[in-house]
Amino acid sequence: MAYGIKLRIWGDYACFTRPEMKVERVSYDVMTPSAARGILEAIHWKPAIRWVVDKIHVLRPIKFDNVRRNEVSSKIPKPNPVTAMRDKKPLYFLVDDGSNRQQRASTLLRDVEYVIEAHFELTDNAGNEDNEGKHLDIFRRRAKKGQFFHQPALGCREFPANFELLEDEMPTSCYAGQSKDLGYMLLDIDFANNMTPLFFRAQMEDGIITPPSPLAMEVHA
Amino acid sequence: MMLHALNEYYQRMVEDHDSRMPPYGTSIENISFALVLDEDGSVKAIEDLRELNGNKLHPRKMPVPAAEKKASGIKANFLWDATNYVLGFDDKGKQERADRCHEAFIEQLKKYCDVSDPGLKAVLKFLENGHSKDVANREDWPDICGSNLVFRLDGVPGFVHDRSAARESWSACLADKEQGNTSQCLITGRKRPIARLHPSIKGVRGAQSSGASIVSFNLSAFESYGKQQSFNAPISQEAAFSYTTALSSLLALDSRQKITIGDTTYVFWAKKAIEAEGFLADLFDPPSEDTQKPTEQDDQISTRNIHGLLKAISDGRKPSDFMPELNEDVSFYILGLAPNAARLSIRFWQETSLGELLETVGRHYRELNLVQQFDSEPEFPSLWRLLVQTATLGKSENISPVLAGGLTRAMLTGQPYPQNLLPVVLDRIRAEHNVTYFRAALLKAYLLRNTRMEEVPVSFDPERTDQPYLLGRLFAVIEKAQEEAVPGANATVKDRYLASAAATPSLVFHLLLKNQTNHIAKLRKDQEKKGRAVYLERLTQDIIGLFDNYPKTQSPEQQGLFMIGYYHQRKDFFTKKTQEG
Repeated sequence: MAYGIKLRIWGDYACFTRPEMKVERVSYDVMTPSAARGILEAIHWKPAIRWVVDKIHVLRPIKFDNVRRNEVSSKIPKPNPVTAMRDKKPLYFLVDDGSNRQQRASTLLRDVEYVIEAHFELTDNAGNEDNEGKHLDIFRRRAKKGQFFHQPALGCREFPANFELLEDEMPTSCYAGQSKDLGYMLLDIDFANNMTPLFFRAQMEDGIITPPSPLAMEVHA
Repeated sequence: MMLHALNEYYQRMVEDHDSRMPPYGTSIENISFALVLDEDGSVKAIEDLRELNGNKLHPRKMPVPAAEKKASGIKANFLWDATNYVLGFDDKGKQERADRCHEAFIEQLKKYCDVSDPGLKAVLKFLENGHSKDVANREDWPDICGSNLVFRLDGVPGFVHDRSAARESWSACLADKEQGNTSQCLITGRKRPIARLHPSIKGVRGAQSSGASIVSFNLSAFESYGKQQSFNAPISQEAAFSYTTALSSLLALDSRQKITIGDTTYVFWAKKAIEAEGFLADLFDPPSEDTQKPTEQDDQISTRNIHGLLKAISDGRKPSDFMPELNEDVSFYILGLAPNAARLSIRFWQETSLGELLETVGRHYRELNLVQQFDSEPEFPSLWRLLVQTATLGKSENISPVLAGGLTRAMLTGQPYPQNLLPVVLDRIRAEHNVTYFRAALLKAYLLRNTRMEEVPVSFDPERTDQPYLLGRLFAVIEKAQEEAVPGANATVKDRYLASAAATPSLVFHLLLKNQTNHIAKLRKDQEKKGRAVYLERLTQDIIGLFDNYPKTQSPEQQGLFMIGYYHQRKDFFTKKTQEG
């Protein structure tokens, strides 16, 4: 854990959508490793590094709530951006049309707080000018100042995440002393391999989830 | 979580042979008739499989090779289907489509059926020789048309699709269908062929009768990473079958493990087989002890048991004190489903232990506990009875789904009652000028759980000095004086002033008290009612003496307490004073 960081994250709402219930959205009980990776990448990422989430600490109790939202039912058809680029036309997507709307129910999380423990590895894209210390310092500096490339979110863009670099002691979880089986959870997506989703059996011990490495055998078992 | 738990439930039930859970590759379908075939394929008879239920004939539910998911496309089921597939005639007059359906049905059978088996051979001969016209010319054709048919070989017990040769053919057919995308299943974690579509789930109130899906991707906006349909959420075909079959059996018509509240259908099950699975429905909807007809002995015992259990848990005792055999540690699952545009949305999901669940339900009933207005009213009102009291005209269809969901959630999880409960109940009281037992109980529960109020009395409390409570009592006394002085008045003070007295006491009470003086004066002139006049006047003075002035307005919480005070005082007028003297 030489280059490890700890980031405390909290927010009013979160929705880490389960793939099987992504239409009428239902959230996972806790943050998924890929969502944690997304938050880290929002703060600092370069092709030279790859974030690996080591642990997710769940600090507040898991609470669900229901909302209904009006969403759209179609995506921008793929040819549109292509022709827009070619003909230098503006790209627009009309959602005024009532038939393009869908009311969808979401079961989401309220009042969440997590600590992400993670480290990064240098990738093949790392050049001579890249070294671990440099990227670690960049991340630390950015996180301390509250800088980010794009607003870190708790699962959905609508639910922004507050964050803080954790340098003090780890806060205690409300699940300390308990263990809980959370079932199979999305670990990440194998982008190199036809975007295959990878799942792992999430066990929460003392409020801590330890995801396996995406390359580990148990994921594919 | 939920799908995982359903999958486990299926595995548990399949091992229990009494449960009649269909094995993988079959499904329980509604079948109306069996074509009884001779070995040469001619129709011997048509057997009516329907069962009489009440005075209506219902199709029989029986296991058959698993149904295809049908939308607008043509997909034949194996060795059973509706008449347009089996015979090539439908009840919609679309002959051209029926012909194509029939062809698809024959083609599938030809491809997989082993003709050395007499049963399958007879079916193929029946189809090839065009015997289906024989059926269409029968007198009872209007009955048969459009229903689901199976085959039976004359003189042989059982149906053709149950013959071992048919089963082998079906598993070959199934194996072909399964081919395709393999990926890691998100329920079992194993690498298996993934289901593109999941079987439909029937039995959720308000959803399409042909069934709806939990896992479905019926619009492009729901799809990600260029994946189609259910490949967006890789679930193996076996797991998809297991969870839908388990859910369907929980949702079946005669299931003891489901209940409908508002627009949501709730099902519940335990991780292990326990007795409580059978009676949880009664906790939501306690059977009334008084209206119990002297039917079966068993029923009466279980009713008494549930009342005993409810009594125990609402008194705050441990459920195992009452039922020692109850295993409180068993995990319990509750799932609430509501339809939304051909899909099912998860309205509620809870994983808890039986002991915890009973405790929160007990707390709910403890908070609701209030002296009944009439003896016929239930001690443990069901959620439906409570919700109807918040609806216009007392009709179920006017119940607000948000309120119904919130109240159920509050009952099962111990969370606060929905914020809009208080205004809705006050609105109903304002509109109907009536504080019923159920409404007063709801107000009490709300005040106890959602506000900082530490105590709201169960029955009339003459010692209580909260001003809203006293004002409520005072209003009841004023109403009583009018009732006795002017019996049968068209519009009483309650009809006119109940709501405004609660909301703006200082504006209304002066007027009411002036009127009351007249009513009491009238009573005093009557020799027989003189005593009542003295009693009511003294009671009024006693109550007024406990506070200084009338508040200009009262908050909704105070209005709630006002209504409870009114309810208690009024109830007190009609209670025989046994301990007096």
